[in-house]
Formats: sequence, structure tokens, C-alpha cells
Amino acid sequence: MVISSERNVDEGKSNRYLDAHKIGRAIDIALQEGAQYAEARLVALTETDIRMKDSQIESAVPGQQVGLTLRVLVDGSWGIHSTTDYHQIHEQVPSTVKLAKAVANRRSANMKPIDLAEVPIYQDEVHWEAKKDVRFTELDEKLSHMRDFTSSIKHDSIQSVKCGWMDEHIHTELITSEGMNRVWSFQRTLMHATLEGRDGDNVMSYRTRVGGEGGVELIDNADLDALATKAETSTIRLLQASSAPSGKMPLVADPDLTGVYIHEALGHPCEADLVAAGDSCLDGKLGQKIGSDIVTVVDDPTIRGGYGAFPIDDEGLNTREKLLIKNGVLTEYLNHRETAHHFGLEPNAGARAQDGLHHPMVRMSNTIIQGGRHKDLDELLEDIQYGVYACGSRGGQVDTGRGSFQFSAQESWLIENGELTAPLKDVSVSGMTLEILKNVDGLTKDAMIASPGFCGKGQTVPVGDGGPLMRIREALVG
Amino acid sequence: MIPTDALDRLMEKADVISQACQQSEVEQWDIVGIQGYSEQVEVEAGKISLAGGGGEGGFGIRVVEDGRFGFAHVVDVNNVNAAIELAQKIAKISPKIVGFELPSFESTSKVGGMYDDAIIKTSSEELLQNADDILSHVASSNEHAVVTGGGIEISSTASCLISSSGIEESGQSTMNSIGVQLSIDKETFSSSYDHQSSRKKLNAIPECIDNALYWAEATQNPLKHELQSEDSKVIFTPSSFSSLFRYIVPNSVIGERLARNISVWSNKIGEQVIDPAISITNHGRLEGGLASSSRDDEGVPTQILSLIQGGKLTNSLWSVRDAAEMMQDGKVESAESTGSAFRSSYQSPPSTSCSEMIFETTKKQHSREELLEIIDTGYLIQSVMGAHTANPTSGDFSVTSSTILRIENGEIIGPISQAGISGNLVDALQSNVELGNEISVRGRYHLPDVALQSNIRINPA
Repeated sequence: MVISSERNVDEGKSNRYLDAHKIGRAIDIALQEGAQYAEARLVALTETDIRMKDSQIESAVPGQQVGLTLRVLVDGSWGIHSTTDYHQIHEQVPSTVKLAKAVANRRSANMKPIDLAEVPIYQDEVHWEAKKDVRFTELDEKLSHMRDFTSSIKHDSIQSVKCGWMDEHIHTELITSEGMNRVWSFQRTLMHATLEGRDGDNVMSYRTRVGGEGGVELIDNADLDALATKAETSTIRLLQASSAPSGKMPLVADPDLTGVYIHEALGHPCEADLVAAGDSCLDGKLGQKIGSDIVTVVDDPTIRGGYGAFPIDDEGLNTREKLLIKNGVLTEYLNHRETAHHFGLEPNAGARAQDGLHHPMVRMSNTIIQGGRHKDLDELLEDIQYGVYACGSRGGQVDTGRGSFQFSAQESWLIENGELTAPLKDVSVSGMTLEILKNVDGLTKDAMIASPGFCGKGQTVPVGDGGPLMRIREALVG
Repeated sequence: MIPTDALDRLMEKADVISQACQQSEVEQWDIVGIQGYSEQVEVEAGKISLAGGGGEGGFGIRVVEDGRFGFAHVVDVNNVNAAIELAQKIAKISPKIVGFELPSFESTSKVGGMYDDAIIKTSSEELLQNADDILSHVASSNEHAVVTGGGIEISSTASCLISSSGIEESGQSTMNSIGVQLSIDKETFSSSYDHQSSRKKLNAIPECIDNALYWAEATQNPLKHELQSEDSKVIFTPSSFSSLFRYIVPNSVIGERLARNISVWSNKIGEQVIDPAISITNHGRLEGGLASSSRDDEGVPTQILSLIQGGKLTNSLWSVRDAAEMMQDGKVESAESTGSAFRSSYQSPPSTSCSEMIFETTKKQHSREELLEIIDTGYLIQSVMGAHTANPTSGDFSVTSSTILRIENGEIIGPISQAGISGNLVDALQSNVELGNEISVRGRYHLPDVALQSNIRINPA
């Protein structure tokens, strides 16, 4: 059943890009041509991208991108047209419907046609307003933050500090053949830096990031001096660090790395489009125990401030927390309307598109492993004779079908007899999702969203990952 | 359908922007315009999941005044005056680079092979048929194999570069890309991914399809016996080697990074940096090359540049701006553009990057069978996960592979389920590097099989 409802709207109305009547006519044409569903989704990004090298501006690029994607479902198959020339989208309707029909005509009888789970229909506007709007903050103020960070770094071994700033106001309009007519907006702000150090022939880099969903207040409120000092200290330490040991051993990860681990090892295999494609090791495992009792994982786009936060997904659904694992049991896949229908599940608003020129896919948002019972790092370390404590993320990757994954730390320490000893460089961890989740045997109490990140799956979207300090009793360290 | 008059439409708009720049009081300016069109078919779970198309384009405007540069981009040419003003405003607060001026016109010849009419003429129906042919080919080759992801894309891009110093370059290029992720769920689960891109229309069933199939089949039924973590000899296929190479080597030959002492090869121009048999060439003018063109994105003619010759670092890559900045800062006595300025889109100002990179040896090149014999005991690696986590500054890497085969006594004895692979690529390239005799094009990298015999550690799961 399709129901119509109103949602409480934050203050502030937007100026629309789309002429609802014109788009309505285009959608009517799609329906007349045979579409069972049609939508027009426009995204206008107002953004600033600044690069600074050793306190000197390298480039500053303010700009706006507007893109629109027309998506039609015809006889159980998708046809899509994306364009920056959104004023002329109505001209593309017949050819897009024809394309979808051509796909449908090639579907063999044993293949299930695509259909969409029913969802509430809204006509409203939702605006997550930033305390300090990125659009109305002077470039000089952003540059000042970047210079403050850079000027805190003074050590002779640091050869270069590259600092970057990315902010964006994301404005989305969605009009569908089901009567959905929503406008929503929010902002993201990110400051990032890469330090490069040299000691003789030894060169090392270290990166740091701060920011999230919100405006410039996120950077105003950050302790940039502390962030710079930590980055400087870590770069210098890495120049003296030893290579990592290799083999199976206990691993303790900080919240940054815990977040990347849960994103790669669990989050991706939980994406229902991969499950439906036969490319997930979690296919058929809903309701089964796949992790240790202490593992509970959520994906939650409603956590304000997390880099993966957003108010409404790109199919127009109100976002909500998804409980992926509860006490080790797989409880929910991330889905969008197509996969929710495919698996007979409730839609949980997991559809995200990179921008207005891409179609929605099932994606993560803020993915967090919940806190446990251990008091602190010392308690996690105390009964480890030989292992590794790994901090910060250089990124990770997963083969969802095989269930194998890899992630790398920025800096690490050897654990010997419950104590942190030698600093290590280039620690990576690999494993199999269905084995390593069962090996999580320690979590500290407080979980947190860690540094902002990006996730690539054909399209790139911002994500927030995190958790508490986590101990894995046996991990393959490289 | 991809329009045939894309370039004409782009140039009409570029002229409007050019006139606006001329009427403004900007000292120097350049305009880059890009309009791309594409059609794609996506495949999922052994069937076509969607078909789509679209167009995207806009203009980037760079202004230079008294050695300071500003940049802005527009889609709607009606906003061009505001964009020019914005770029000027940014230029005013940007640092002055003494001697930085936009390049003057230098004549150059066109690089051929960038456009294939057969791509433009491909209909949506033909594209769908191509996808169906690939699905049928995989299914008929192995009844347990399923294409779980991937697709086909054709695209055409019209582009132009116009500058106040008389550069006016325009052209249209095409591209055809095919990639498949496929899995085999038989006695064990295995999967593999491969892809190919070309300026020319690819064969209906390109080599990458059979290659993905081969690796999914070859990694079924992993060996049961336990292998120890050890320093090992390895053969990287072009796929796995390009993954590591692209994050480490191009970064190390950027002139600005060398000058700032943040390349692993800083202060080593003229010195032996890798195996004396190995050469690396930056080829900006390769016919049909994905990263080739007659001019770079600042308008400087591209060139063929030897970066490493006989293992010695001979040259580095420069853009006009980097060269001026490093000379101003006293980091180098002299430097000039090597035609190596690239933009990731019209929304970005140019930065220094490599063109086609060709990795060669003066020694005998070997068949894969010969390489297996040379290695004797070790591993053959088709793909790695986490190459993007490699340290681009130091060359250190620590990655994982699930498409890895064990070699014993010069023969492949079977797959292992997973292994960590770590080392330092720069160190591993120091000596005893043996290359295969079949060059594969992986994006902008032209590489054969690469056998490395030291400084690589394999850590089987």
C-alpha cells in the first residue's frame, strides 16, 4: 500500500531548480509510454575545494554542479538518463523508456522482473541547517583554519604539509510518479592534511582528517593544534618505525581502524544488491550467528555530525538506524527499494547516489560497532603476550563474494607482554569475514565515529565509520 | 545516442567564454571545455540490470595575473562573467609565482587513434546484444560461472583548450570499456575481476572476459597444506603489478616532489635507482593511448620522455606552474614543462601527472612458462586488494590477494585461499627483475608480467 504523509519540516524553504509541473508532464509521458515507475532526481552541489601546500594556496575552486538523473522502470527493467542539461530532460523520456523496454525484452523467462517495495509518500522539504553555513563563510576564514594547522608543524624532518579543504551544500529534489515530491538539503565539511617527512633516505607520509556532516563550525570547534601535533609526532615516529611482523597474532585496533574493519569486513557484504547479485558471503545468513556475542553493529545515517549522515535517502525515504548485527547474529541487510522487494524485506533507506549524475545504489552511511565491557586500552592489552596495536586508517578493500578483506593502519606498535613497545610501520590486516567476526573478543565501552572517510563502489560517497577500541584474538597481520 | 555534432556545440559555447575573457581585463587566461556523452549497460547476477546514458559537461576558466592564478568553472555560459570575476578574486589572494605565465603557442602534430567512428555508430541495441553475448560466453564456458557485476560503456568526449596566448586546440575522442566480476560457486567459491578499455571499439568478447574466467577457475579448490610466511620470489601479472606501480612509481618521478625532497628518488637524478636493465618511458603521444594527446592541459605539446634509462633516473615530469614555482623557491636551478599537466575534469585546474608509462627491459623477455622456471618456487599473483593503501612516498606496501597461485619446481601447483603480500616496491625493483614478453595495457600503464626475486614477503592465511 502506498500511503501519503507529511513530515515535520525544519525551518527554511528552498528555491527549487525543478519546475514540478514540467517534470510532472515528463513523468506522465513516461507512464503513457509504458513505465510502471518514473522519477527525476536533481542534486545541486555548492562546494569549495581548496588545496594548500606549506601555507601557500595551490588552488581554490568554489563552484556549483547541478545534475539530474531520470530513472524509469518499464516491464521490470531500468532505463536511466543523466545530464547536466536538466532543463531539457523531458526530451529524453521516450528514449529512456525505450531503452528500459529493450532491456526487459532481453530478460529470460526464468529471471525475476525488478519491482519496488512500497514506501510512504511525502511531499515536503527537510533541511538540516548547519550552524555555520559553508556557503556564507568567507574563503579567508577557511584559509585561516588551514594556515593555523600548517603553522603548528615545525619539525625539521617534515618536508611538506599539504592541507586541503572540501565543503559542500547538498540540495536534492525528487519527484516521482508515485507522488513523492521532496526537497532536502544538508552540508558536509572536511579538512584534511598529508605530512611528508624525511630522515636520510627514509621518507614517510601520514594523513589526518577532521570534519563531518555540518558546516564550518565543525572545524571551528576542532583542536587543530592538537591534530597537527599528533600528525607531526606520528610522522616523525614512522620515520624511526620498524617493519611489521607477519603472521597470525592478536590485534588491537583504535576506533579509526575498527571503523574501517567493520566497514570492509561486514558492511559491504551486508549490502543487499551484492547479496542479490550472488556476490556476498552473507547470502542466506540472515538470522545466523556470524560473530562473537559481543559484536553489535549499526549503520546509521541519522547520527548528525558523522560524515555519512543524511536526512533522506536518494529514493526519498526517511533515514533510520539499521541494526546489522545484534550480539553476533546477522539481523538486517542494507537495502534500497529494489532489493527490499527482491528479498521481501522492509525498505531501510540505504539508497545513495554519488551526485545528480549517478543512480542510487545500496550504500553504507555511518557504520559503527557498539561499545563493549572493557574499561580501556590497558585492559585489552594486559593478557596479550605478542601482538600488534594498530591505529589510524590508510583504507581497506573487500572481496565481498569470497568474504576476504584487507585494511591498513597508519601507525602501529608491537605489543609484548601486555605493553606497547616498538613503533611499527605499514601494518595491514587481512582475513575472512565469517572467521574474523567470531574472533572479536574485546571492546572498550565507548564507541565513537572516527575520522571521515570515502567509500568507492563504482561511485564514491562520504562515510563515517567507527567503534570503540577492539581486540581480535587472531588476525593475519602482514 | 551519442551526438555527432558534440564538438561544434562545445566550440560555440567556448567562443562565448573566450569573448568574455577578451572583454575582461584579465592579463592571461585559458579555457578548457569538456562535453562527454556515454551509454552503458550494467550486468548483475547473470543478467542485464540496467541500461542508461547521459551527458555531462562544462568549462574551466583559469586566469593568471602578475604570476597569481585563480580558477572557476561554469556549466551555463550565461554565468561566465561571474566565473571570471570569481577566478580573478581568487588570483588576488593566491601567492605570486615569479615567472609564471601561461605557455605560448608551439606547433605540434595531432596524435592519432583517439576516435573510432564505430563507437559513435554503436546503437543501444548493439550494446545490449554485446552484454548478452558476454553473459552467454561465460555461461557456455563454465556452467558454474556467473557474471555478478560489471558492464559495458561507450563514450565520446569533445574537448577544447583556448588561451589568451593563442593556443586553440580541440578534438573528439572515444572510449569503449568492458569489465566483469564473475564468480564460480562449485566445490568452493571463487571470483575474479578483469576489465579493458580502448579508444577503439573492443571485440565483442574481449580478452578480459576469458582472463577473468581463467582466474576464477584457477583459484577453485585451494591447496590444503599449510605454507609458511616467508620472503619469496613472485610473478606479478600486469593486473596486479599495475595496481601497485600506479600508486608508487608515477608519484616518485614528479619533478616538484623530487625538488621538494619528498620523493623516494629525490637527489638521485643521474643515479641508479632500479635494476640496470629496466627502463620507464613517459609516452605522451602514443597513438590511441588513453592518456595521450597532442597537448597537455596547459596547451604545451606532449612528448616522449625517458624517465628511467638503464635503471638510472634521467628525467622527471613538470607542468609550467610547478616549474616556475620550484625555480622561484630555489629548489631547482632550471625546469621547464614536459607537457605533463592534466586535469581530472573541467572542474579542476591542471596538476602534474604521467601520460602512458611504458615499463621495459633490455634483457631477454620471457614467456610465462620461462618466468615460472626462473622463479622455481614462489607465487603468481593476479590481483591485490588494498593497493591504494600503499605508501606513495616510501614505496612500502602491504596488500592481500585471493587470486594467487603457488609455484613449486617451476610449475603452478595450485591456488592458496588468501595471502598477505608486503614489501617495498622500490627496493624490490633494485635487481634481478625479469619481465614477460607480452605487454598488457592497464589504463595508462603498459606492463608485462614482472618477476621480482627479493624484498617481497608472502604471508599465507
